[in-house]
Amino acid sequence: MIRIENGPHLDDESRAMLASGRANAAVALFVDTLMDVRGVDERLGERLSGAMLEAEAPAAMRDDALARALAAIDAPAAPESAAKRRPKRSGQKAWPELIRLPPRLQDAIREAERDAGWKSIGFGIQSLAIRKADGVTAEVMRIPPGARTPVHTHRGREYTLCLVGGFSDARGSYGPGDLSFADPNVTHQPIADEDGPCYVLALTEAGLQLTGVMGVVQKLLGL
Amino acid sequence: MRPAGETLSEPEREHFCDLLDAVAANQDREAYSELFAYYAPRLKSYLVRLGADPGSAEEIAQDVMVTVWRKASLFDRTQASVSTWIFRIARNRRIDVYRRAKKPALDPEEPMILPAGVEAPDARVDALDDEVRVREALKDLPEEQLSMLKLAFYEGLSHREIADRLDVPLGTVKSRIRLAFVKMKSRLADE
Repeated sequence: MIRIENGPHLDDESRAMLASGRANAAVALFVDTLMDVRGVDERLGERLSGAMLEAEAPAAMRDDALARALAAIDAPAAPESAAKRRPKRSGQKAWPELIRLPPRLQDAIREAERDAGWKSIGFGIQSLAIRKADGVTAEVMRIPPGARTPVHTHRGREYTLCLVGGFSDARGSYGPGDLSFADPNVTHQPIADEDGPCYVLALTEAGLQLTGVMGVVQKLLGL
Repeated sequence: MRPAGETLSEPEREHFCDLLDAVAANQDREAYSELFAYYAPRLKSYLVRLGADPGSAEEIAQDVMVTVWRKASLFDRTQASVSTWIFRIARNRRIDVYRRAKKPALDPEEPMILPAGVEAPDARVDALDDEVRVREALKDLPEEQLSMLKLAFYEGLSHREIADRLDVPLGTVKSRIRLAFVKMKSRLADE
């Protein structure tokens, strides 16, 4: 696991892909969160685009466009309200630490809770897939104080951003804003700090390959 | 109607912040209507530019504006202008446009997050100053650099795609974008 101290530093093309929304959606969410957690303002690209939107030549909308928008606002979106009721309301977690996460991530978490919901992945660890795109997944994990995660190796690259609390493995300890990187050569067993739950945002390629007993269970369950 | 190619003045931008705050605080429909009149037609243009047909562009612009109403309380004027905030919402809908226009989102083939680099991250928090300076700097950029920045950041073309579109060597695209970006960045670091 490599500890990434500074940055992140983006190359020009990646920066533009992220700003324009062309980048992989899971990667974009991860990078946005990383910026938020580290208080880094890498939003020049978005500001540029905001200014370019202002300079855009207006294209006439239908005459009733505003009326339709207002109607959509009034009718609390029929299909959506039904969809919102269907998945268990209990999907929304009230963990007090959630408000310490960056607001944009909180927003994404609330949306993901309506869609998929949190899953128990063993050892008291809860996981919520926030965004999946082209084999890359961004998920938030909540690890109880002192919990040992299953020993695992990686099928692809994995970036883990510590959001709240802390964790350590054989190579070091990580606190809020710290980013670690692992690839298929790394087998490790991170352990959450004792003094509170740890929240991380993990970005994985093609899923984790678990080596312990839990790995077999996970494979069996198709998790 | 305002001429195309012009960005908002500072008082106008502030006014739009007030409008969006009024939508969040009081569900103010008049304020919303003013925002709609300005942004919906521009969003439609932007979406057409990305490859949406006018019908889909209209629908997506509508939808983005409804999201603006619903998420107004998340807007924070110390972080971004209304335009930047709305752009972000629209950009997150791009995937719909691509699906219709059969243009794929780009995969992260190379790691986007580099462990080390020469350029220090921009740790400034003065978002509003940045919004002003971005507009000033845009005016000063030579057209050849401006158009490339626009294709890259606004339309989301890869460097290769820009080179093909403008029929210039890939190296030229890279160096011009680098130059323009560094220039913009140094403007923000000034003062």
